[in-house]
Amino acid sequence: MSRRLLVLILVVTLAFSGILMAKTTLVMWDQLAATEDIVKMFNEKMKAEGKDIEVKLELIPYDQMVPKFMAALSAGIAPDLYGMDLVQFPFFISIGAFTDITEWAKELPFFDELTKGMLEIGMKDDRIYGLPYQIDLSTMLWNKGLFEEAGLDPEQPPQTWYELVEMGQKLTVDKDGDGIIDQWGFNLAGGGAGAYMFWFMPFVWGNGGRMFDDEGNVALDSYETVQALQFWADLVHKHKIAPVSSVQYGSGDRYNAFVSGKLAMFLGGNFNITSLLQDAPDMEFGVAMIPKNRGEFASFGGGSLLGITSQSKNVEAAKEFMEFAFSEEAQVGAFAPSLQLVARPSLYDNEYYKDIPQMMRFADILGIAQTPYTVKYNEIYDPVGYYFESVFLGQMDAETAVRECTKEIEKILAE
Amino acid sequence: MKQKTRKGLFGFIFLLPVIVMISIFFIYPLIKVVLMSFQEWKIMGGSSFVGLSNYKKALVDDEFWKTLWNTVIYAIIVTPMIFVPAVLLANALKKTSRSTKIFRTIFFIPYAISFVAASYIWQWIYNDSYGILNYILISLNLIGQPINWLGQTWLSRVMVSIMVAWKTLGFTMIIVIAGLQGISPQIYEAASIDGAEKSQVFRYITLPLLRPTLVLALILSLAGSFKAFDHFYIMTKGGPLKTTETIVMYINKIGFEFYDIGFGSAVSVIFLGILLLISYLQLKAGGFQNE
Amino acid sequence: MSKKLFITLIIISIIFVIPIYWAAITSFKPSSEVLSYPPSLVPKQPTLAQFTKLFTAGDSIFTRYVLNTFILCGLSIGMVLILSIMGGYSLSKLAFKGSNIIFVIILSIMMVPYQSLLIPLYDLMNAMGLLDSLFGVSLIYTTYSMPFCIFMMKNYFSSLPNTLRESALIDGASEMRILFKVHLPLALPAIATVIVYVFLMTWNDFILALNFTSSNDVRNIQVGITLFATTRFTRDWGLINAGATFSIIPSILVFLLLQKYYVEGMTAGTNKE
Repeated sequence: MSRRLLVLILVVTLAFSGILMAKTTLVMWDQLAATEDIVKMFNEKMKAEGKDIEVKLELIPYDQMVPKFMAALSAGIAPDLYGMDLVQFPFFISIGAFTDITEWAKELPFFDELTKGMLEIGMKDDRIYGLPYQIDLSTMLWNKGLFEEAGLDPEQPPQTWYELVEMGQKLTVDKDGDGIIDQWGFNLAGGGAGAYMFWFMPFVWGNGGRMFDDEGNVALDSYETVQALQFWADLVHKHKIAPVSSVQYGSGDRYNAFVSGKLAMFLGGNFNITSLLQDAPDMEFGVAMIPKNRGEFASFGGGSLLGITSQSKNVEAAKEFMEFAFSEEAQVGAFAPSLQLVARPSLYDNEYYKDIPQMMRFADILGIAQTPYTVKYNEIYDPVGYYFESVFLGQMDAETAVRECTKEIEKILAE
Repeated sequence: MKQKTRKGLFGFIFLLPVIVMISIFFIYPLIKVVLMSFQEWKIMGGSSFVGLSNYKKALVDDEFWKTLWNTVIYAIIVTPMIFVPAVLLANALKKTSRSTKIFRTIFFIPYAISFVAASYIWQWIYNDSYGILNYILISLNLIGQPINWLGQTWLSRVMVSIMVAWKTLGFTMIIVIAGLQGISPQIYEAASIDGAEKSQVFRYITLPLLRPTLVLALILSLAGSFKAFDHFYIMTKGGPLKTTETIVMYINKIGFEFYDIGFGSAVSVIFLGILLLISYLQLKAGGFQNE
Repeated sequence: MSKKLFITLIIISIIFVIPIYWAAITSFKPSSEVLSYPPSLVPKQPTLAQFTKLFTAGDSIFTRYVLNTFILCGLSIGMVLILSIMGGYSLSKLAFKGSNIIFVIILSIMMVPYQSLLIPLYDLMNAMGLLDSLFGVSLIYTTYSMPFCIFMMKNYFSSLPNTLRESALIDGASEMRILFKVHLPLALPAIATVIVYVFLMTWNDFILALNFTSSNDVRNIQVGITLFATTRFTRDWGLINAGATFSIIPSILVFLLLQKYYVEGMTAGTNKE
């Protein structure tokens, strides 16, 4: 009898010890390949510290980001951690997809460094659901060589709309006299509403306008917006420093033009730096803030926030990973080598950025970054894309476009 | 077991896998799409019956009519581009010989490649800054400035249609050749005895006799045009200003980007209705063949 | 054929082939030359760099796309062959009371475009757990290419005399054996048509793969090309042309190898409709 009891106790103990030794596996989704390195580093660190936490990373292509998340949420199998494009956060926060991490976040040593504008995107009613951990900023790059050729100071990019036109005209050249312009001063940023948000809105902001007010209502219907729209249209049709085809140019088409020397001033971002250094090794280029008019310099603060989903069963372990992901070790070790922008301005002075002067500029641009907050980000793409493009093509006047666009956005927000 | 019964039994067994496949992947979705069109679906689960409201929504939706219009206009533009060369080439290559076989193959090859590949290949040709079309036309002094071929509404419709014509006329040509080969040579002999000229023969004898084949090919081609997706999705993304957005692109957008399942189903059902109408005509045209 | 006609046809043929030639040429230029104007008609610095990049970028993900697509073709062709051989034979030689109705239903599938059933199909695949799987997508390719193939096989079998089956029965052969050992070897042309037809449909598909697959383990070559072509920040025309050029090679090869049967089969099939 006692023998059997002993066996029973042993078996039960073994069974329970199995549970106690159970590994905590966190599933993380991200679209950035560099996150792999952070995950590797973290897993090794956990091993070294004897903790049984492991992170499994699934790389999700950018266009799958939203649909996959929706599908997983409705099936109840969302990942523990998600590094998603920040503009999507307001919507997902509103449907309760993310865990409230307010108290924990505020205790983090680096919390005060994080860019306010981007932090707010991950918040609702003063509660925090995500932290900015990968940044994309819209900016203007210029070809210093072409500036010199045009007799302009290669170290002075245009800072105002007026200067943009003035310099642009000198930089739009028919080099071989065949009546065809071989080099354009500027290109509009086309290819969809996403481009307009990222590169055109800073012109609106730089003119003192806004898309949404603090309550989330549309604030687009203003003279500042009309002026900005008209300005872009004028760049093509009046001042002729940008070709009309650039209204359809995607980021890649402008990049091609810039790399092949057909474009002097390029609306791009930090994500172009690595490729530029590779594809145009002989080009001297600079990173500048987008020219402003009557407002302040502005840039679109894009990138990703990292959040813990509400369906995660391992919130504490997930927090541990998050804290690590923001550490100097992770950010500088994983993001900086591939010239990704790290989330903490204090880390910009690192060994990888030091050698590339263009990277340092981004620390300043980070300070002026803005991001529109709305739960219907994807839905407003439709009217924004349509009406703005109409103006740039010269097919609609700016006032009508702004009015109609505002009406449609209001309709969408009301649904 | 009786021979006949056994035969029938095996007949059924052999067809069983087919029946199962069709039931699951065709009949069921067909019924489901109609059902879903009468419902409204929420993202995190749940649906409600809303009767005809999705259809009403479609009828007042600007974009729905726009995409329908775009698709029809495109079909009108591309069809003659396909048929005129196809019929002329078919007539030139109707006799089977070594050389005609080679020519037929050459003209058919674009049909074998994907619309994705063809779209990129031609988009590159049409590129405004580095494209070879602009280069050739400027070198020949036919145009003075590089043209943005895919950036203007009517021009992009025509240019995309040119690509589609290049890609599909080989198929139509083959069908017409088969039709031409079905015309008895004695008719031509009789015509030449009567002293008819080549072009007269073509207009008054060949074409009328070819009518059933042409009608069939036409309806196949129209159905294909209405299903246009890949090429506009890649070459123009529906632009500029949604003037080249086709109805299948719209269904794709509603269903897979906006997740409006109910509305998307309604538009799908309407689209299906249009295609069935075209196919019904196809069946009727098939009646011609049974002369 | 008159000389004038012959020369005209030669000229048209050359114009016809130019787009493919141009894409291929561009694939062998380095990026700096691709982005030059005026464009060079023959590569000044021919290089394999674009193809190298195509097959090594992203941890050689493109190779995976190609493999996936071959697997999809294999699965679809395999399933369609079995289904259409058995189904076509049944409708032709083993007809029973319900045969006709079933045949009409099969034909009606050809009139319903799968583009109109994307939404319910997605819903169905999701419920069956078949989303984002090679097998799942191939089931759809099979279902929608099968009707034409059954039609083809039925017609072909019908052109074979009934005596084939009758004498084999007398010899005591089973129905399966009669089909696969007696009839099938005589139906090779029709099978060739089926293979080309299904291969082209599967290899060239875009919209189904786009919506029904999402992970790299499952994506096909057409979607793969668009992923390379429309990345967020670049538009690498050299790479795009390399991808397009590569992708058309299997299609053209399969077509050329079996074109005789394919063309005959297609014209016979459509004319009989």
